[in-house]
Amino acid sequence: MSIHIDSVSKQFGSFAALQDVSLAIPEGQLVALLGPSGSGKTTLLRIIAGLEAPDAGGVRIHGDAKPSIHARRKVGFVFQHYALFSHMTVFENVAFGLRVRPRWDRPSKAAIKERVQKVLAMVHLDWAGHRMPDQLSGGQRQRVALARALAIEPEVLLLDEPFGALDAQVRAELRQWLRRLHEQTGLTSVFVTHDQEEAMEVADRIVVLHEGRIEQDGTPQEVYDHPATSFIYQFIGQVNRFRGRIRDGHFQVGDASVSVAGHPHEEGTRVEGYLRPHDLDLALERSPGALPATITRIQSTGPLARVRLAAAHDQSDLEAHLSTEDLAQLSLAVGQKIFVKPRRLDLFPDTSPATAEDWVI
Amino acid sequence: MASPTRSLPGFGLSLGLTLAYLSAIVLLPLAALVVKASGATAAQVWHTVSDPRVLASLRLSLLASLGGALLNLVFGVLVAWVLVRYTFPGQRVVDAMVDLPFALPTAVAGIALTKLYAPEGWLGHLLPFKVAYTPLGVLVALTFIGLPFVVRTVQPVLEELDAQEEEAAACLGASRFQILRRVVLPHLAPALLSGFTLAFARALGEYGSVVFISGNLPFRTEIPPLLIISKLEQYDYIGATVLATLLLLISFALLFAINRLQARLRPGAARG
Repeated sequence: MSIHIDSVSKQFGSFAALQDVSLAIPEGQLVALLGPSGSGKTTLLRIIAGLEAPDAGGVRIHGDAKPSIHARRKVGFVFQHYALFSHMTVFENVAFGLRVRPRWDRPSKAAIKERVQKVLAMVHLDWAGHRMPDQLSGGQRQRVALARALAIEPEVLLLDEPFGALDAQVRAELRQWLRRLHEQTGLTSVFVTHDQEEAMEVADRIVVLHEGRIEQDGTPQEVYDHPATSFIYQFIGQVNRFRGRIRDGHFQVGDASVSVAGHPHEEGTRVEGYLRPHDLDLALERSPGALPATITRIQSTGPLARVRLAAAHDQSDLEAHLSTEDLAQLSLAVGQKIFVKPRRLDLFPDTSPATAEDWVI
Repeated sequence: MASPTRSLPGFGLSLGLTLAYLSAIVLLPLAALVVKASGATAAQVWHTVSDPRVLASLRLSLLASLGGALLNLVFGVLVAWVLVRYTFPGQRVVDAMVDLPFALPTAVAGIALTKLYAPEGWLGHLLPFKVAYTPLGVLVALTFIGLPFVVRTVQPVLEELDAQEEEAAACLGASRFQILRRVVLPHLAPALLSGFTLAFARALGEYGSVVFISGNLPFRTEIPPLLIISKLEQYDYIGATVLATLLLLISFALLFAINRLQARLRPGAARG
């Protein structure tokens, strides 16, 4: 079912966790709420679940207002640390949501058993019904938590850093598996993560939160290729940053002048140019718009070579990614002085305090 | 013959110390009691045990201790819940007050309770029935001294309880009452039983606070410890030790049974 979040604000003491956040999630979408810690992503998820009440604004699920968790609207919520009932078997954990239904709505014993077996089979744990949660591994526990959430046939599935407590390999497995599960069930799902790779891999849509506001909302492709702000550029993926100034409509950095099409920045303002490592070309000869740099490290394992450089004008670290064939062709060596040329560049206002160097033009 | 290697060293020493300590503090005095009582003839034992006055006192003591422990079970959990789950002004003071029944000399508590609940006392004159000098007074005194046991055993468990389990239950559609019954109480059960047992055991042996509020009416408000003292005052050492041994056996049997029950309640012990 669809989820509508209307201008939700939430304050914890003097800390504004969420500021006027609105978001509409259509039925069947798998959305990642992505942000660093303190960005308000978990608070937003808890408000959707009804575990937290917003100070202002509201949440509607399938068009109906959802005042609080005790209104008995069913949400499947998966906690980072599983929150399994430690005194119950896996079977009892999964059956819990069915057993607590009011008598007129409660399935028969046989129906409960069948339903529990079905969802346990879905998470490949049909053999574990009689185990206690503390006899299972972390990944298995989280699958039990998912089965428990799915058993009640929830309207929406909410996951709070579901794989955050697991080790890397299990995490990668469960991501794939969550994606498949979503395709199977078609449940409207929202999951919180601070791991941009996880968000890219699993979600249909990424909502980036920063300091209690939505910073960007789009497909993984859009968010990665066209970050809306410098924060997102730095938060998602690897990035190179050039600090410079607008002169004659061009981006002046060091003694190079890079032409950037259609930027809105005024003449003379300080700006930062961002680009991904694979958008940085390396050349042995100087050309217009290229900057001198020194190679500090070359790492060529796998098909992708990573070349780290120090920019000549301010010694800032740069990284370029190129294919190992291109690397072989250039026959580069550590310590060599070469030229880097941005293939594309996104400019954002430089809000950091000016240093003396910035005035040396 | 080589002794098997243990992964944890010091077993011999620590067990030796434990046994020596327990013997000096617990076992020897109790053994002296039993030795003295074993000097009694069968007729003397029967005379003491079958005395209707003794039986009445045992009945009162057991029932009032049970009642007090049950009352504390309910209200002790409430106190612990309020102290753990809410913050309010004066919380620390309330928290400290819980221990007062431990610290106060029991005779002082007894006299204070008697003054309060006497027919002309602050609370007593408001009540339509008599409390002091009735079995109800005994219950009040035993409830008073037992309160800290339940609160102090339940409180830490409640603090450690994972609030997310309750949130998970709420998300799954459980009502507040269902959450309490199916999620919170099972976690508290071992602590509840501990607190109950301690309060009950303490009440069985209580003397100081009861003798003032009960009025010590034969067959109505006498408790076994009082009978033991009065037998001692009449130089009836045999009678006193026989009665004390009887009390000891009853207490031990009850505590042992409750401990067994508790072992089965421990988390992870239940399967199915």
